[in-house]
Amino acid sequence: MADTDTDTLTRRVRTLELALRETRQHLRTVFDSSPLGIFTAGLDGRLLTANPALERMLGLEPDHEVTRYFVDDLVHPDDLDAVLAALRRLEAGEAERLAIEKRCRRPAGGCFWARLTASVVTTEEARCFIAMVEDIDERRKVDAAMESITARMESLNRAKSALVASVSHEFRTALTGIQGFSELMRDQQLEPGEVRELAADINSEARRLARLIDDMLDLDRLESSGVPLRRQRVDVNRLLESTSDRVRRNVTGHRVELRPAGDLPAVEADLDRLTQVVSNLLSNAVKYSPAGSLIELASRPFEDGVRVTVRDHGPGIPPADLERVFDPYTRLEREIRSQVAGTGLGLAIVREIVRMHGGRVWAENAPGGGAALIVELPVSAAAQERESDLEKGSAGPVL
Amino acid sequence: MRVLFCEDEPTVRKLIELSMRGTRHECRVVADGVEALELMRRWQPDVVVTDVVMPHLGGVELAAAVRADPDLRDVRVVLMTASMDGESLEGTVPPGWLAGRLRKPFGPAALRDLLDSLDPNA
Repeated sequence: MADTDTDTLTRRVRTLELALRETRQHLRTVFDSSPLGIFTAGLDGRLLTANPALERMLGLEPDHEVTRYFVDDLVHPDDLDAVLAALRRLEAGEAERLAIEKRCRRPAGGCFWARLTASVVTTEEARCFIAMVEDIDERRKVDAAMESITARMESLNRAKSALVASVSHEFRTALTGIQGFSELMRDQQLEPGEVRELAADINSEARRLARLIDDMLDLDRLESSGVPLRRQRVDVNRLLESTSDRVRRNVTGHRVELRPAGDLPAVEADLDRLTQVVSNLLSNAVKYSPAGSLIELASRPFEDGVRVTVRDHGPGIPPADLERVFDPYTRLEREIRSQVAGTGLGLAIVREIVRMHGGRVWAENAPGGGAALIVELPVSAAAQERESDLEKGSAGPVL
Repeated sequence: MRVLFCEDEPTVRKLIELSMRGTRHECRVVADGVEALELMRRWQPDVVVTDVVMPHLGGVELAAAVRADPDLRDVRVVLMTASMDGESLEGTVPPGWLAGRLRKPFGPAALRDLLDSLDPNA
């Protein structure tokens, strides 16, 4: 009887052992084949076990001894404080589980974004952390790209709203003149001289609208790179001279003083477009400086290019606007303050043309007062294209 | 009525001056909000008709300054609006501040009709 009991007990123990082995085997298979990284760590942070998925994520060899690592070794230094604080909350029983997205560090170098889910478990031996790690690097990259796209879209949307507001303002102002003066001519008894004056005003406002439309379309074509440059060798000093003559014939009485450099190299450029650049810069100087004041137009060579400076003797540009004066459809204080009608697109067009030539343009407040707008253009078309490519972020041809 | 106009665009200023010629209103035209506020204190107009976007002091800020000044409490403010600012003003101008709104483009008839509607002696 005793033997029978012993046999039965032995069989039951064997059955239980078998079941336990199967359960262990099953858990081992789950542990080994899980696509998520899994590890356990002591409350001191030392790793106890790690599955193959985690070893792959961390770039460890399969026979690597994981117990040599602490959690501190495997977390990006910038994220370590946050991870350790979260683990301490778990250990203290302040949270049942943590789920955070932080960067993991590979012992051999490099890091990746991971979602870490952890809790504290109590085994027969001790309490320890058990954690799952999911590599979310790709998702974070997509998220970052989406954020960038969203920010860009929001920026474009703001630019569109600014454009609509600005264009609407310009149109409504010009139309007020056209509608109002024509109503006066229709409804009131006016002297012939007054009629002629109002007709001239209407004509002037209509031309202002036409200029606005021309500038808008031109800027749009330039920005979408729909305009090819017809490059030729351009004598910049001659161009400055001929363009400044137009300002001298203007009614504002501004004096234009030319300061050409004697040893200026010719520039491979689109003559019409470069004329437009200088003309717009001069118009800007006329617009923002008192009638009869001096405008200086200077040229000089620099490195492998030519620099043109247009300086006025007006009130200058508020420092906060120096970066923005070339932005289209941006209403600036100086724009509003100006009493000379303009489309507000002249400098945006300048920037686009200069960019197409691989050059750069910027604004400064000149020492002694007034604003200086400065254009730098590379001499050769090849250098211009190289600069243009560099600006776009791609490597240009090596010369 | 004494009417003060405040407008920085020379074209619109000229239109206002010609439109008000021969009317029974006494008019002054200035180009800037600060100038308008100074003249209002000296001249005490019944109505101020002001552009919205102006240097130094815009039309909305001018309306706020009028509301804040006990000496100008009775001055009625009309805004001339261009662009989309007419719509975007809804949230910035408390109800009751404005006696009217004139949307650009407008002609002499619309301007005179508006002033007649504000004139108790009309």
